Amino acid sequence: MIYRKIFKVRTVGSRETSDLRPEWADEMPNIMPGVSFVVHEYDEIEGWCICECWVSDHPIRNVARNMSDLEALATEPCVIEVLPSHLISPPILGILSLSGGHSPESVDLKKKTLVFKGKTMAFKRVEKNRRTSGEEEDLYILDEG
Amino acid sequence: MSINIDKKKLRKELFDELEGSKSLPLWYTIGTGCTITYDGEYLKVHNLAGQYSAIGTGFGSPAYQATRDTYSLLVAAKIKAPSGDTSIYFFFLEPRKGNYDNFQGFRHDGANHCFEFRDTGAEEQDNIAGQDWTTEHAFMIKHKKDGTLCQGYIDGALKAESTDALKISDQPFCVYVAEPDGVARDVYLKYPPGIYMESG
Repeated sequence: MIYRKIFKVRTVGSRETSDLRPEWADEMPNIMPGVSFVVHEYDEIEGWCICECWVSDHPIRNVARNMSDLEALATEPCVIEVLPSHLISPPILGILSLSGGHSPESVDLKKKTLVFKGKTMAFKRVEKNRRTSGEEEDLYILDEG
Repeated sequence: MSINIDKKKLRKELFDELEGSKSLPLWYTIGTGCTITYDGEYLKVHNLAGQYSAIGTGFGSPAYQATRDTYSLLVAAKIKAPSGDTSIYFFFLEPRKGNYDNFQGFRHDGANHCFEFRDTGAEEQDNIAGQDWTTEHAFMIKHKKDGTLCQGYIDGALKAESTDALKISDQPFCVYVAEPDGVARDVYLKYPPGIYMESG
């Protein structure tokens, strides 16, 4: 399952120097590896941005995380406040998937499970996707939200 | 085709004249009946349905890797695709052309503007809302050598970031832009992509 949370976060850098970002951006691998985020809005004058973080407890993730991990992020010094929603927050923020071309060792379409790097994991559905080589591939959607 | 590029202007626009930044040499993949032309300001990729024209480039990160333990690779380009939002690979890194299993970059997947992080076919997609890529934007990818961080910037501001080491494939990469994914459309690239290696 994918878990999401929206934070108002202090920023560093500037658009002029092409490095405007949330203050925690470069340190996130040390603060909490396995967290991904999208920034919906910047206010460069006041020095804040709206940053929507997401994590997943699916075994395809390098670190399985859940809502309590996201709640712990709220105590980071650069967080100004936690927001309930944002105007452009999309219905689906993050998707985890696996290319069918070479990646799964085996797939059971009936049980909707596959084996990847020795781990058995569930998938939700299969989509068609075009690779940059021009070939079509099966894409197993493991988690989304 | 001979193109006269103002490299100083390129660095000013893409990397604010960071010392050591470079513009990258270009090569093309041109589908049957497609064209890539230069009008003095933009390289125009004119792609036909079922074709996979693209602009690519290589770079010399292995030499840099030999001398530094930690660094981040930054690549940037200015791109627009005025004819609408259909599936397109806008600006991305791959170890070699068509190695989509290890793709990192900006894409419109037919439904969403997004940044895709891939390693051995395992993929994370971060959807970026409120975008219009039919007008020109500066795209930048920052990729940390140890594979713990990959970031996508648009117009000088970070939009998407992953810290999932299992979705961030390893350097070295080649840089590609403007691949219209088999769709008939034009894509415009302003200057060749630029590259910069940042310590830390």
